Order: sequence, then structure tokens, then C-alpha cells
Amino acid sequence: MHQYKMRQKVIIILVLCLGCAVNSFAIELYPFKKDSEKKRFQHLLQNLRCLVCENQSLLDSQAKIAGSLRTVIFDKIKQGESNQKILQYLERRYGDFISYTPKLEPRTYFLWFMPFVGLLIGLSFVFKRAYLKRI
Amino acid sequence: MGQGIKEDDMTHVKRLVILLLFAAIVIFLGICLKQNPSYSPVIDSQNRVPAFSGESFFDRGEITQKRLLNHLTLIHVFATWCEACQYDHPIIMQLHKRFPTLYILGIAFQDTRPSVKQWLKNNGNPYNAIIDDSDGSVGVALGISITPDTFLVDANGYIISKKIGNLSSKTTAELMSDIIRFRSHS
Repeated sequence: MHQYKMRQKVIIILVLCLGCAVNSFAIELYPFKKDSEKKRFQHLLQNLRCLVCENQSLLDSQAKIAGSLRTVIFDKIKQGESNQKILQYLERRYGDFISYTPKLEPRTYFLWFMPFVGLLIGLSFVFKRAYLKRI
Repeated sequence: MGQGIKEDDMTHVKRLVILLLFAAIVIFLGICLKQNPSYSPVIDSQNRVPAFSGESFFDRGEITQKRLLNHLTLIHVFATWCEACQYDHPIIMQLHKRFPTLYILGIAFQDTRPSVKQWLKNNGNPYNAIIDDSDGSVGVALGISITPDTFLVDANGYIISKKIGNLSSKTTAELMSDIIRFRSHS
């Protein structure tokens, strides 16, 4: 019985690993000479949003336009362009929309700092309540 | 007694503040709900067409943004695999017939030579030049996200108007009036 359960666990883990393999298959279509370039490619794709299927990154998306964006990024990395330059190229064409990490600028202060402000407000309530109760 | 009234006032104020906050959140979310959540293009009218370089479908030479200079140009991004594009093709043909001197540049997005050839044979060729954009890099350079797209570009390479997706009778009429308006400038 114990062994049976163990085997089940192993099978579940193996099946879950299959899911990871599906993600990396796209990468293999883009041959890089250097491992560092491949890592940069993967990092960039993970942080860029597909334009027509919003909840997928460029790494996961099967959309045609995502394929073209991957090719363009691949070529630019091979030409030795920096991440910053590649992002600039894409943001000039597709705006903040394409990036999963919006730039920190006055326009995005609300977006970036609101969670912390909310946390502070919440904490102040907690402290106030705790303090008042003690009295 | 006096203190009781004070505390009552406090709870009233508190309730009012909470109610106002709640109303603010509801209004904020309501406005967000009305907004279009999908991608809106950055490269739009009043912008210059970005640099691009692609292989010509007809003579295999290079076509760059320089091809847009000195005349009014209609750029049409299409693909033979794209269902919607087949509905735009007759409209582009119509524009070509109506304005024979209008320079029309086609961009065959992620397509193959044989299928584009067949497509032109079956449906007619309204294009002065076509870019064979097999990897889609010219499409990306122009900032497209879906096909078809239609740009009208002035003689200096600035975008006069940009229509994303299928042309409707309304957007076609807008394009025509822009063509007539800008034709006299160049």
C-alpha cells in the first residue's frame, strides 16, 4: 500500500514536469551559440506580453505575431543589442502594454505605490485597534 | 451625555468616510470597466513610419522606408492564411482602380511566395510592390498586432491614417477622402 502511494506520487511529479517541458520547446527552435544569450532571450520573452492573447507571455504564446516578435528579438540578441535597446525598440512600437513590468515614472506611481499605501493604512488600523484594546 | 453625542458624531463621520471611499472605488472600477482593455497602437497617425527593410516579392530587391518618399502611399498588411484579409482585398483593388496613380505597397505577413503568387493570380494584383515578409519582422517594425492593417502615408513618410483590422464602408470612405485631400499636396 505504501509503495503504491509512493509510485503514484512519482507519476504525478513526472506528469507535472511534462508541463515544464512544453514551455521550453519553443526556445529550442532558436539556436544560440552562447548560453548567456539563450538565458537573456528566455528572460526577455518571459517578461513580454503577447499582444493578442493578453494572459500569455511571448514565451508561451502560439499566436503568429508572437512568433514574429520572438524572431525579431532573437535576431537582435544575435546582433549583440542590449536588453534595454531591445525593450526600447518594442516599447516604441507597442507601448507599455507589451511589458509585464511597467516603468517607474510619475504616470505609474499610483500603480507601483498603491499596494504599499494600502498596506500602511491596513497596518495603522491594526495597530490602532490593538492599542485601543489595551487601554 | 455630552461625550455620547461626540462619539455619535464620530461614528457618523466614520460611516460617511467609508461610504465615500466605497463610492470612489465603485466609480473608479466603473470607469475602468468602460475602457478598452486590449492593446491600442502606439504608432498612429501623425507619427513617422519607422525604419524597415524587407525583400521585394517581385524582383527580390530590398524595400525600405525610403520607398515611401515623394508620393502618397497606401500600405496594406495582409496574409493569404488570414481569413479576414480576403474581404479587404477587393477594397484594395477598388482603391487601385479609383486612384491608379496611388502607390500601393503590400506586406505579405508571415506568408510564402507560392501562396502569395496564387492569391494574386486568383484575386488580381493592386500592388505596385509587395514585401515578402516571411518572418514577420517588417510587420513588427510597423508595430502591427493583427492582420489586415492599412496605413496611408504622406510624401514625407508620415502616417496620415491607420486602420486596424478589416476595412468597413465607413473607414474606406475615410481613406478615400484622405487620399483625395492629400493627393493634391504631393
